[in-house]
Amino acid sequence: MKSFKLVLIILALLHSESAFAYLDPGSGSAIISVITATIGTLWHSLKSFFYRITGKKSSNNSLISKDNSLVILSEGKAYWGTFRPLIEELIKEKIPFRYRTLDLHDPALTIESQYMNSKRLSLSPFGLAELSKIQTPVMIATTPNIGAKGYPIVKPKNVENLIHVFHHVGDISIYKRNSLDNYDSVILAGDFQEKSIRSIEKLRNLKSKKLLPLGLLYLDDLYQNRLSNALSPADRPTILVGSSWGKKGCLQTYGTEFIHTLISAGFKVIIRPHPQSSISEPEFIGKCKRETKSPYIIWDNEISPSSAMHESQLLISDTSSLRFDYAFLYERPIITLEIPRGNLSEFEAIDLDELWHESAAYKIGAIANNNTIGDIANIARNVLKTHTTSELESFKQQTVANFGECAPKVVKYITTLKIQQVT
Amino acid sequence: MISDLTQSIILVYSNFYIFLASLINSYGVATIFLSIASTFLMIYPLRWANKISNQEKEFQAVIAPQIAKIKNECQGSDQHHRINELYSRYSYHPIFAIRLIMGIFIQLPFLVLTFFMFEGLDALNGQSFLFLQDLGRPDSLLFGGGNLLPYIMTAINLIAALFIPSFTRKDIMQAISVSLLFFILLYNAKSILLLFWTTNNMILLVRNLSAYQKAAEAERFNFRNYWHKLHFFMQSKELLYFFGVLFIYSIIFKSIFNKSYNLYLFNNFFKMILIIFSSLFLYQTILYFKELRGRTKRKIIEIKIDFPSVNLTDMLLVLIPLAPIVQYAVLNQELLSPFEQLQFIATMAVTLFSLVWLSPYIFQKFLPVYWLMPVGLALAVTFASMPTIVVMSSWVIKPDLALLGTGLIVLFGLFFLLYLHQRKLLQTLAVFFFILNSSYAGYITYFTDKAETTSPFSKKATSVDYSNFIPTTVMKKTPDVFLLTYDSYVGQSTMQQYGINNSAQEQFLENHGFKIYPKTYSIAASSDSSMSRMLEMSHDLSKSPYSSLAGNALVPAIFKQQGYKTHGVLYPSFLMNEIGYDFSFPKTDKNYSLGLSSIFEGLKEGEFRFALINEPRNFERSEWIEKKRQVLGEKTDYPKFMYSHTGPSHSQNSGTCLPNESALFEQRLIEANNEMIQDVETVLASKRDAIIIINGDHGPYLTGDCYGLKGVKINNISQLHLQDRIGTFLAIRWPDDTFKELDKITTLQDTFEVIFKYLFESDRVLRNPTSTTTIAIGSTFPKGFVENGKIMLGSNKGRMLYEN
Repeated sequence: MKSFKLVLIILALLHSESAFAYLDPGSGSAIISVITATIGTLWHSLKSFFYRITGKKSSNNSLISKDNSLVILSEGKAYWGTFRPLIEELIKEKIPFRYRTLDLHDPALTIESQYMNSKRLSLSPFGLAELSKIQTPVMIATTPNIGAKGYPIVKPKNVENLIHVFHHVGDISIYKRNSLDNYDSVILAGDFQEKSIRSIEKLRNLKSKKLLPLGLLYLDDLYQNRLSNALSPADRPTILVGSSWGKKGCLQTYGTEFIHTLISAGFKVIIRPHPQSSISEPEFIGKCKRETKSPYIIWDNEISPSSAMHESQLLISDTSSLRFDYAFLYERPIITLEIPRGNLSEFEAIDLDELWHESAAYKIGAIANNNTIGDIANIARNVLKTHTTSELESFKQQTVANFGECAPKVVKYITTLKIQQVT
Repeated sequence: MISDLTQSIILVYSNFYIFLASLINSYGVATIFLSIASTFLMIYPLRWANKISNQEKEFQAVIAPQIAKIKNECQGSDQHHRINELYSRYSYHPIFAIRLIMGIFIQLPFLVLTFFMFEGLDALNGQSFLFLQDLGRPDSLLFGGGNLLPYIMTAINLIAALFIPSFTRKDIMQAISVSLLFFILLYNAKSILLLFWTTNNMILLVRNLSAYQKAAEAERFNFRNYWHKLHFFMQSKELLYFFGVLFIYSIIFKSIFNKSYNLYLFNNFFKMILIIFSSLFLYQTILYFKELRGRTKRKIIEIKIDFPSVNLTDMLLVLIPLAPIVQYAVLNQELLSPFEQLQFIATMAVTLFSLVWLSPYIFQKFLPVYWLMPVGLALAVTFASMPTIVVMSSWVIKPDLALLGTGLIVLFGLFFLLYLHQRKLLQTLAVFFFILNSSYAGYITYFTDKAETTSPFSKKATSVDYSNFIPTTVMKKTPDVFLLTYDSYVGQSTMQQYGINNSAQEQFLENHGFKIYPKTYSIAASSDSSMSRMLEMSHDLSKSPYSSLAGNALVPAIFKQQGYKTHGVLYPSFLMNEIGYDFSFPKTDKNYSLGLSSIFEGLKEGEFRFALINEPRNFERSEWIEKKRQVLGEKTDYPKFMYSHTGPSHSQNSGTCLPNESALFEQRLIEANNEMIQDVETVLASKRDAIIIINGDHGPYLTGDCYGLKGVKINNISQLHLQDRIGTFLAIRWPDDTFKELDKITTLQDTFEVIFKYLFESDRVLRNPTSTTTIAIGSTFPKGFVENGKIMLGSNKGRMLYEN
């Protein structure tokens, strides 16, 4: 193709008729790409035709049923950690399934397997229409609010059993309102999540969901890909600031001032915003970045939080479930920044009497609020001094079911449902 | 329907522009304003297009590495199916790449309209703006008549490319290629169009500069780095040696090419190389002495000269410059015998081989071959293509040196990159290019319908077709018949429009018994096509016109049948074929060739000049005139027919008029008139009965572009343009008055029909008289522009050709 491009250029140079075109050099290179692509497309179509008439058809994905195979729906690469263990287990167990993602950069799209039929859908009307036509006995998603009013993704009519898997440790209080109303089943991280779900069901008079305490898929992934627990030597003690997105995030509630306080006190800070922040509040994140220019501040945008968690000795966060990932995987201390209930008015928390994360916060470290935020550096020093790991280990055992082996359990459960099995 | 709509839109657009220009009182400022306004109007649509384009780039960035991986891992149907599945997973199709040029789709309709609006706007002609003399024409501001604006446009484009953040090296290379492509395409466009585009690109540059300022350091083009590299490169000894070799080349070229276009080209090439070589030498000397004094330590980048070395397959590269040589040999089959064609190709092959292969082979121990081979190739291609370039251009005497220099540099760059990175591809292209070129030339010369009639080797080459001629008896009268043709001679009614008064000459002829036919024209507009049709008494030709001119036409054949001795005292080029005359001059025997020496001379000059083969070589002009007069004055016991062809001849046919074109013609006319007077007096002195035909074969080409009016719309072709091309002169001295009953001449090609009616004393000599419809002339004049003396097309449609 490279050579062909050269021939094209040479032929074009030999041609001397007058012509007209825009002379933007950037457009010029695009024109060459388009010419190459057009010729490539013609060549590709010819080859397709040739292979079709010679009977050399593609084999793999034709094995997967379009009406009764399992469907996994992902919003994109941010949830790769949640679905990777499940996908690997399904392929390992040779269970055919369809994978639909809304993100071009979803790493799942790079997988070539005869048991997996992947497709990127867009959030355009065409993509959503295709999504709504999905037919399956079981669809697994980690996206809250599917089918909720005002949410672009509707629950496909021909999905018999829509199963939710959590991508955080916590109850549903930090989900937006009506988050799981249209789900039929929920795979719970542990029994502690049942209370908030049933409470909402009762309040809204919803059909009772099937609740399955099988564990947390994404925690399996983090656990498997966890870096060595040993800390690498650093000039300054490192604090990870993990912020949720929107009003429940510590950055929106407390601003960036406390980060400067930490830097002044001799800490190094890694700031990790929720992946949703880059979609929902890019301007705000941009503003925060401008406010926090310092050699001791790093912004972490990696898909996996593993590296940031590994490098830090302490986590400061809000309602984020990153706190529990940090506690359960690395057994290091956490400071929770209190988020006023008023900030949670858009969330299920407003309809719940008790919020699990509030009580759990005391079990994993210290709590700071508007009154004590000015003293954050001292609180941090104190927490680092007094921290022990044994309590965290015990709390983890009580909270998360099947820690480290969730995926096989989920797959085992799925095989009991009426989906396409190994042929 | 669509065409009408487009025309209407262009008209509205054009009216708006004229209104704008009248408001501002300047076409130039109005154009700049239009460009700025259109840029602002496009901001939002382009922002949207840019978003779409970026999405596509994002797709390609994700998919391309995966395709590369698949291509590495498997082949054939496996590869194809895996790529298909990849596309399916991403809901992608390769044709979506078209989204990359969404911005162009948005701009294109506007730009196309602007292009056609400016192209059709005659109001721009003669309008000046700043340093631009005529916005309706190319600017011609560079020495040698080159155009400056295309260089400014290209420079701005290239600078704009350098300031695009995150522009990769590959992108820059593509941008250079595309900029150069547009440079070539728009080089001869109207200044106004270049002004519009250049303003557009200036705005683009400003936008890019703004983006460049905001971009991170890593995203910016590293000017400093390239400057350092250039600095070290300047210090390399190989560079000095390279220009040393080029200096030797330039001395050789200067001594060989000492005429016409190539003289200017290689003289300036020599000067340029001398300056660069001397500067480099001086620079190196200063560095050497500085080093000697220990003041500085040179950081020399050693240039690898071990890669690549000249190999035998590199000989294939000679085929690139050899392709036009073969084309010349094949297309000039009328001038060259098969042996001469081979001789020409072989000689040139050896010459080109020395420059392209042998010289790099000799110097490869001291110099990188990937410099020498491309430079040899670029020079060889330029030299071999020069006659073609000259024909395609509108240069007058001097070439556009800036354009040629740019061409040389571009060719060098192209060959350099291909030789260094795609050597096999370059060799393959050389073979491909050679075969394609030679096959095409061979096809049109030997295998088309035209080939059969123009080939000197076909059976029809010398055969005479008598089928249209009626008389089978002997002539009733047998006076000498002298056809004295004065190239490009026209009647006084046309002459006066050039400001020339030639009435005295016409008076001379009338005083000596000539009848002047002031309204005749030729159905063709070049010597060969006009005179061959006159001698064949036919509108259509069945063989090469040069064969007819060489005495193998119907008219001399009839005279021969009737006991006449036929003579041809002609331009050498009219006597290149098998000669049908009993006596001819200057060609004396079959081994006498002007073709080979003419073609070599043409290559040396860089132009296959019209008159090249007609220039006296083995004879003097005075000898030629003496031969003609000898025939005119000789008393013989047999009747004679003579066709003689001489000046004043037409303009230089470059496609651009010289400032004193008409004055030069007038000077030549004076000479021709003197020659004519003496010719006539010589015949009359012999006191024999003779029919003397004095004629011009076509017009002198002194109007428009002094050539084929290339690019002029049919509707703008005037009566004078036509007289200047198909207008002729005809005066006949009849021995007695009996011609008057037969005397009906409309076109030059009717002349011999009337002559034979007179000689055979017959009312009808041709079964089908010659059509009065003009044949097509070049690409501007279609067939039938004039019929029966009436103008059928153009701005004077409906008038008679010579109507006042």
